[in-house]
Amino acid sequence: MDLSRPFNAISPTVDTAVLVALFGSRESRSGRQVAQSIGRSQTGVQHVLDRLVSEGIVERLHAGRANLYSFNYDHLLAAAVEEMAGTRVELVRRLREQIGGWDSPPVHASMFGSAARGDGDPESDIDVFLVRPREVEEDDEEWRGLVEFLAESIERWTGNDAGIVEFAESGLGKLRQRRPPVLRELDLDAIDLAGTPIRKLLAGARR
Amino acid sequence: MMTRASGRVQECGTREARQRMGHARLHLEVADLASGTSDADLEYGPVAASIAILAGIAAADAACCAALGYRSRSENHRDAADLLAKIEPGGKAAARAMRRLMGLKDSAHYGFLSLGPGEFKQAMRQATDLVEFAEEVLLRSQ
Repeated sequence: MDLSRPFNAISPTVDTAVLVALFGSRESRSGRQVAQSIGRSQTGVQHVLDRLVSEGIVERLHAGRANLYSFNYDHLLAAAVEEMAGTRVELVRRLREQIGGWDSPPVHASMFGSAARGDGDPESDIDVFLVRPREVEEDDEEWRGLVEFLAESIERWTGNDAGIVEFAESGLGKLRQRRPPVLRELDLDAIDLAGTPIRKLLAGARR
Repeated sequence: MMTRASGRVQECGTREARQRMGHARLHLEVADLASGTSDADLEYGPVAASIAILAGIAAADAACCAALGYRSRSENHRDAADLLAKIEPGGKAAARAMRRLMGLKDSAHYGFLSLGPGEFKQAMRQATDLVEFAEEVLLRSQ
């Protein structure tokens, strides 16, 4: 699944892209603005907008000679569009729920990379940064089972491979000293899932 | 043209939204850290609350940039709350949190209220709500 446009997994059409673009605010936009925001031709988007207005899920407002369009949040299908627009919100919710239920909780867990930024493609991994507690051995059977189940769940939920970067709590000091480029990425975009927030965890890595 | 709220606005997009989201998270964590070292005699509370307020303002900017494509540049932070109210879903609740946060800021600024532990907790609650809201808006944005 392309997490930058997750709705493409079930409806790879201009119609869905237009609906999801209009969803998210009560703002009215011109056909040109909608076309620009989704990178499609104005003529094609205008046909789609006309159809969606006739279905009642998009509202048209006349502003002088221009037409402005907005999403109709009262429409029976508004919830279906919300589900599609909120795919990454749901992914984060499920990850937090699953990791939050671990008997051996991680010191820290976050989602980072393209899944956190929303700029991936259908082949992108869903990257998770996990810090294993000091008292849990790397080959601890229970821990390995939890991590493997997490990876399987991510693949089932999204169709994408899970990229799980596991790190031992005891190695955090060295990581802070070395400051590899991935720390900058984590610092900028990581979305906390469990445990100590990433920026607090890496605070010693900043200068 | 887009229909816009009154007050000065500045166009912004995903890049700015991510930057302001980073500021919001950092401010919230620093406010939390400052509160951890708080001592009534040392009066870290007002400073921590002020940082929490900055976290809320940054979160509001992030959400507006991601969902609306512009943010408030008005001197009056209540204009930012009006912009938040246009975001769906959850914009109206976020606008209420922003107004409460700005109420604390103004009271403290004009000396009507000293920011004690109660106000700090309130500021942290509103700022946390705004940061979580902005995070969801960014996750929804394309």
